[in-house]
Amino acid sequence: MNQSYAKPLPVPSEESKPFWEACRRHKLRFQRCSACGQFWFPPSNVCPECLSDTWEWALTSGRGSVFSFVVFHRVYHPAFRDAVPYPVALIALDDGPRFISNVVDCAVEDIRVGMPVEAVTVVERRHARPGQGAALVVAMDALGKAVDARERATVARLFRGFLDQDLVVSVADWPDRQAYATRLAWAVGDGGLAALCREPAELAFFRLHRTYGVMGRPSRNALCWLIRVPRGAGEALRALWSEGAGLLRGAEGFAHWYTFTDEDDPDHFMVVSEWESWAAAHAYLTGPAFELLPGLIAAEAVMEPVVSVPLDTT
Amino acid sequence: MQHPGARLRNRYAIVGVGQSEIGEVPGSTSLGLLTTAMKQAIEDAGLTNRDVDGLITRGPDDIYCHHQRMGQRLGINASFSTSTDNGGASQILSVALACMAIDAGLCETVVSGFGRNTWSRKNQNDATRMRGNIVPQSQEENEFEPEFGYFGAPATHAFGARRHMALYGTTREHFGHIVVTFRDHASRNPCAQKREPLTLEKYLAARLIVDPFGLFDCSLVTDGAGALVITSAERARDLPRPPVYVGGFGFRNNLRGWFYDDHMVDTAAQQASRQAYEMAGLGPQDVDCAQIYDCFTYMVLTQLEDYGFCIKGEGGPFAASGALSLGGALPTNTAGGQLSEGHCEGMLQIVEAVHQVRRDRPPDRQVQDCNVAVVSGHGGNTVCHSSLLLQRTP
Repeated sequence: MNQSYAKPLPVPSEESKPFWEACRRHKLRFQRCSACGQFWFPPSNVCPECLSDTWEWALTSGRGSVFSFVVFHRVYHPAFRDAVPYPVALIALDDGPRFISNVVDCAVEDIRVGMPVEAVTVVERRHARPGQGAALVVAMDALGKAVDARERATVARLFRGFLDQDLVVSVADWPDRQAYATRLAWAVGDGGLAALCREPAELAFFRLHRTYGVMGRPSRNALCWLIRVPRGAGEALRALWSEGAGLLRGAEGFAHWYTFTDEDDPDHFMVVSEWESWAAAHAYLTGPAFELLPGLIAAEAVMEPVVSVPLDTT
Repeated sequence: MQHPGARLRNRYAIVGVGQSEIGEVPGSTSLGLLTTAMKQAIEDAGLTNRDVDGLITRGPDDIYCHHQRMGQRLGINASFSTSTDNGGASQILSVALACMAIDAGLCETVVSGFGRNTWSRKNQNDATRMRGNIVPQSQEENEFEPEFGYFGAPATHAFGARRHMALYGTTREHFGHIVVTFRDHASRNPCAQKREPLTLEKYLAARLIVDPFGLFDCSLVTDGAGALVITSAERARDLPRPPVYVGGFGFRNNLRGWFYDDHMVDTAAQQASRQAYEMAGLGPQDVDCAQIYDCFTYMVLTQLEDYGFCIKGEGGPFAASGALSLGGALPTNTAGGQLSEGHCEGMLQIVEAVHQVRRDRPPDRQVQDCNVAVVSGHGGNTVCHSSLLLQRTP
């Protein structure tokens, strides 16, 4: 969608930096007292319950409910001009403190006080451009529209676009190794993720699984898989892509693709493809063309589909 | 057991009030407006600046040591002076501080006041505004808010309004009745900023600001100032105006925050008002008129409950019953309040309470046989509350 991100970005203090760092890794962490177990927010250096100065940034489930909410109609900041009317909610976590966030994937008129919600990190960015910023926005997803918390990601890996170096995607590994790939993705400029929150960037959505759209467009039929090749064999795959051969061209119903390299592992890749129909995507994934792929790259390459459920079209 | 503060009950009195021009006063300065109000209050008390030895002020947060600036302008060397920092709860705090300072023998006669030129600052040309940003740096949005599009006081209070609606079935019509009533009161007040009549239909048709608040749920942007003179009951007897005795005051500051516990619905007004009632030896049934801090309509509604005028959850039907009108069971914000008369952080509401207890308003604005008036103050990022009970007979 290539529109610049002009909304206010986090300006983390030394005290709040761990919160935003956790958000960047799609985790919701708050300070919790090691002495009395109490959570608190906003950040402080002692527990407001017992004044203990022993505490940790503890992971929360991200499950909670709407304590109260308002809907902004007035534009207080020019970057929200196109966003109004938009909701701002006070979220009460089941196992953590209250904090301000937004409610996403839910019509404004359907939001209710007491409604259960679950945290998601929402993406929004990409492509370096001076003066524009990248930020991570923590938002809340209506429960029931989000994936089951039991399947919550435990590890996130970062992939950088192979053909488009500005595109960075995070892929989460799920405990049961099935179904869902990444809840979100984003891309940043040359500064990389380390400077995500202050990065000059252009905005785009890149969400996989179920209702996720790709690059700001709703994508009904996205297919994603990880490719693991033997040590050193990654060059073969890079060569294929560099020659523009691709691995998908010519497949029936193929529309677009995006290719990525694991930031920490030169032999680990990811492909996201879009298809004209789910049937076409599924046919490719289960057909002979897909089975031939490892041979094109390296005999021992492992092709691991990470999105294999029909996408929700609602 | 008697409240320890009862020792101060009716021993101090407000003996002078003043106010500047209120509303849109192009070119005004906050210090200039407050100087006018304080001069008027001192003269109203039949005193001169030489009689004043205490000064408690509040102004825009970006004026450092505000009380020093005012003392300089009014030619006052003070035995006791300070600037307060409790937002809209500051004005009643200044009355209490005055009583306590006089009681401790630190000074004898205190002038307190609040002034602002918020309308003028908002409407200045850009070059002037560059030198004096309307939002002082100290009040700019914090982290964890602007990232999510959360800005401004209306939203903060609207969170409470929404929760009250969800818990008790309160409606926007209930909020509307409050401002429609106050506008009717303002229409009788020649000094009020907004005097044109308001109907419930017009209220509901107005544009939304931060839902559930629309335009008329929000208080006005005002230039103006108000001021008081406080001294001992003994000295008050020699002064020209009928003394308005300070029966009681109370405070509660829920510093852990509006979002903590259920402070946005069970507000600090509960504890503050109880303290004031106990100090004064009075209860809600004794109150003849109320001046309730109305930065937003919802705040009136919840305070009516928290002050014991109705039970929690029934503020909406109570407001819609007509009780708040002049001539009603609890005439409230009889000069129009901050939703219509003008927003001077509650100072004009103390001034109005003094006039009601003096019984010197014209007949169409005067609460009959007014003996006890309650005033509330609320502010400082929504967590500070102050209560004041004024009475005619000690």
